[in-house]
Amino acid sequence: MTPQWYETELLKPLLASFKHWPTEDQEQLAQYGQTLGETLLQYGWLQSEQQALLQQIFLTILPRWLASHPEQAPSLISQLLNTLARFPTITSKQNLLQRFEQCLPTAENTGNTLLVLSWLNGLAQYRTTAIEVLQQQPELAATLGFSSTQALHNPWWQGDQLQLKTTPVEVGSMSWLGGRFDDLPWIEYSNEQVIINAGARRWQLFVDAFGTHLHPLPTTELHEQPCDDDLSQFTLQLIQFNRYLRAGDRVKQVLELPHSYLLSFKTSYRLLIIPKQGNRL
Amino acid sequence: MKNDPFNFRISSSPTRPKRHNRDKAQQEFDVADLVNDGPFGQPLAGDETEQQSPPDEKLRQAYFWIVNYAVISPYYDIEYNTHTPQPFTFGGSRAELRLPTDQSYSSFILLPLLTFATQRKCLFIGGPGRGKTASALLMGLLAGDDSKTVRRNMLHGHPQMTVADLLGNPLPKDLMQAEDEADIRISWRSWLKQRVKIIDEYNRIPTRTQSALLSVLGDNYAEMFNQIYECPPAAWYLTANDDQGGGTYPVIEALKDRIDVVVQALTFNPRFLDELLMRVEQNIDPTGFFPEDLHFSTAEMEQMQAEIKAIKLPDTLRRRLEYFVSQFEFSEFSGDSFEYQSKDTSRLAGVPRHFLAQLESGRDRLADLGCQTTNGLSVRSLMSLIIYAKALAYFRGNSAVSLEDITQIIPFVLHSHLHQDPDAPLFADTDYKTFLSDKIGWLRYLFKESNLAFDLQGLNNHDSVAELKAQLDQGLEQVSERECQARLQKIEQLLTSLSQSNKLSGVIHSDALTLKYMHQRYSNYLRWLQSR
Repeated sequence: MTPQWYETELLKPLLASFKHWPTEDQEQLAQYGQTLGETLLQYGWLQSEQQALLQQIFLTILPRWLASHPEQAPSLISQLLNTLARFPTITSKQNLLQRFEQCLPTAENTGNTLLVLSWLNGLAQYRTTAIEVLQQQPELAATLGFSSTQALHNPWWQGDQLQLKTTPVEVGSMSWLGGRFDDLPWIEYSNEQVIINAGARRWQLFVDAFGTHLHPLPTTELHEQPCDDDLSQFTLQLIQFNRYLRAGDRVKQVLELPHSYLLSFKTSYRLLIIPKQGNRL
Repeated sequence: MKNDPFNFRISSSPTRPKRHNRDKAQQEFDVADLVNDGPFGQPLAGDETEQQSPPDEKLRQAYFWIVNYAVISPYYDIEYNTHTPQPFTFGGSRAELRLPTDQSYSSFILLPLLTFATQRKCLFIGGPGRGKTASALLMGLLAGDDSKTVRRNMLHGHPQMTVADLLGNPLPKDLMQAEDEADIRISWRSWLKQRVKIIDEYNRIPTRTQSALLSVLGDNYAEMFNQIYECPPAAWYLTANDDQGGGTYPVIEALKDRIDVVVQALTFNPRFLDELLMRVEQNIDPTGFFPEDLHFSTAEMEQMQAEIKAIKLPDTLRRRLEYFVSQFEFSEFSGDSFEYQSKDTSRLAGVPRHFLAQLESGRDRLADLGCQTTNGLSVRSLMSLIIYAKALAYFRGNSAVSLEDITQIIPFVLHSHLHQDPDAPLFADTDYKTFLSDKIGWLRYLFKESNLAFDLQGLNNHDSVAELKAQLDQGLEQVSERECQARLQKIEQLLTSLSQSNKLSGVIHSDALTLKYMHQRYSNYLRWLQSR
C-alpha cells in the first residue's frame, strides 16, 4: 500500500463524510490527515496486512465517532491511534476496536474509555486507574459487561460473562533461551508492590485476568536475594493440586497475595501466578 | 529585577521542581501516558493545551508573582523542612529563628490563595494599613477582573449599612405597580455575582445586616421581597481590624463560624523601605500589571477543585486528626449521662467554665490538652481543616496530604474555632504565657503535643477501636451469628479495659462512645439474625 492509496482510499472518503462541518474544521482535519499519512508510513502502518484494520478505522469507526466532534477530531484520532500502537498484533488491535465500536465515547471521555479498553486488552499496568473509571462510570461498566464493579477488586474477575479466571498465568519461560529473564527471577514484596529481580534487572509486576506487565525499575541499589527455604513439601502439595506445575519443578519462593499465589522456581526461568480458588490452590 | 518596576514576569521554570520518586512508576500509568505518548503524538488541539500550565502550577506561579512583585516584605511562617533546620536563638526569651530546608511560604499570601482555589472563606485580621484589603484585591484579580472592577465590587462595612446597601433595591416602578410580592423585581448589587467576594471591615456592619450577609455567605443566595438570587460559587475575603469583637458591632457567632481560615497581616519590615519609596516615587501599583496568564477561568477553577478533592488523606493521618480533635469537646462534669459530657452542654446551660474546672480534681490539667480550651470543634471546622490540608498538599504538587501539611494548616483553620481558656494552668507558666497572645503558636503547640501523646501510646501501630471500626465498616453482610457474638464480646472486653485502666479523657470518651455505637449495630444485627 502506498501513501497515494491512503489518500484516495482512506483520507478522501473520511473528509467527504464530514462535508457538513464548518470549513475551518474540515481544513484542520485535512491538514492533520496529511501529517498522519506520513506517520502511518513511517511506522509501518501502511503495509498490506494492515489494510483491513485501517479501512475499519477510517471508513467505519471515524465517520461515526467524529461526526459530532469537528473541533477535536485530530486530537481524538491521535489518541485512538496512539493507544492502538501499544498493541503489537493486528488481532489485539482489532479486539480493542471491536469494543471501542460498542461504546463510541464522547470527546471528553475518550481518554478514559481508551484506558479501560487497553486494560481489558492486556495492559495490566492500567488496572487501578481503569477500575476507578469504571466505578465512576457505571454505564460504561455495564456496556463492557461489568455490572458489579465491586467484583473487580479481585484481579481475576473477567466480567459478568466469564466470571473468575482460574487458570494460572506464566511470566517468562522454562528455559533461559528466548525467555523474558536473563537470570533466575526471584520475588520481592515491598510497599504493596510485587518486584521481580533477575540478575541486575528489576521490574514491578502487574498481573490480572487480562494480562501481565513487567515495568522496568531503576537498579541503583543492589538487592540481596533471600535465602532458600525448604519448600519441598509445599511443592508436592502444589503438584498434587495444580496441573500447571511440571515434574522437576522446584519452588524457590511462594508469595501469598489476597487473591493469588506467586511462585518463583529454582529450576525454571518463569514465574507462575495461580489464582486462589477459595482456600485451596 | 526590583530595579525594573515594569518587568513583572511570571516564573517560566517550574515553581516547585519535582524529584523523581518511588511513585513515578505508578504515575506513568495514566490516561495522558496512554493516549498522548506514541508515534501519533498530541496534535493541534493538544499542542494548545500543552502550553497552558496545569492549575496547580498556575497557582504556584500566582503565589510567586505576588511574593516577588506585589507584596514588599513577605514573611515565611509556613515552614517545611527536608532535614532539621538550623536554629538561631535570640535574647532572654530564647526566641528561635529557623532557616527552613524546604520551600516555605508566607501564610498571608498562601492561605488567601488556597481560599481562592477551594472557594471558601478567609478573614484577614490586623491593624490598619497592613495590606489586608490589598491582598484581598489581588485575589480578585486572579478571577479575571481588572483592578477597577474588583475595587468597585468590594463591599465596605460601615455602621449605617442596610440590607438594601448589601443586597440591592426593589425597582421603584414595580413597588408602585406590583400586585404581588413576586412581581417586584430587585436590582441586585453587582458584587453578588462576583467569583471573588470582598467585604472590607465586616465587623463594622450592623447586626441586622450581618444576618442578611450570613445567608449569602453561608448558603450562597440572597433573598429580598420573596425574590431569590443564587450567587455563583465564590471565594470570600473579609477583613477586620480586630478579631475579638472590637469593631463597631460585635460579629454574630454564626457568621464567625462560617469563616474557614484566619490570616494575620504581619507588620511592615522597615528594611524594605527602599522598595516602598520606589513605588511612591514612580507611582507603581502592581495590581495594574497583574499578568493575564494568571487569570483562572471557571473551568480551571472547577478542575482545580476536583483535583484538590482527589488528594488523598492517608488513614494514619486521619487517625491522628481524630485523636487530636477528640480531646477538646469532652467535659466530665458537664453532664450526668455519658453522651452529654461535653463543653457544649455546659455552654448551653450557661454554667461557667471555671466552676466545672474546680470539680476536675482527678485530671492532670496541665497535660490534658482539652483543659486549655473552652469549646470543642464543629463539623464545619473539621471540613475546613481537611479541605485546606488537601489544598496545601495540592499546592505543593503532592498527591496525598502529609503530617507537615496538617501541622502547618491547623493554626489558621482553628484560629477562630478553638477558643483558649485563659484560666488553664498552662498559661500560668511563664514559658507558655506568650500563647495567650500568639494563637498560631499555641495551636501548633497543641497539635505537636497531641502527636507526641499519639506516638507514645503506640496508636500508630495498634489501635483496637480503629481495627474494630474498620471491621464494621466492611459491612455486616455474611457476618455469622457466632462471629457477631464474638465481636460483641470483644467490644465489651475493650470497654472493660478502657474503663478500668485509664482516667476518663476526651480520647477515651470518644472511643467509648464509638464502641457503644458499634455495640448497637452488632446487637441490632444479631437480633435480626436470631429472628429469621
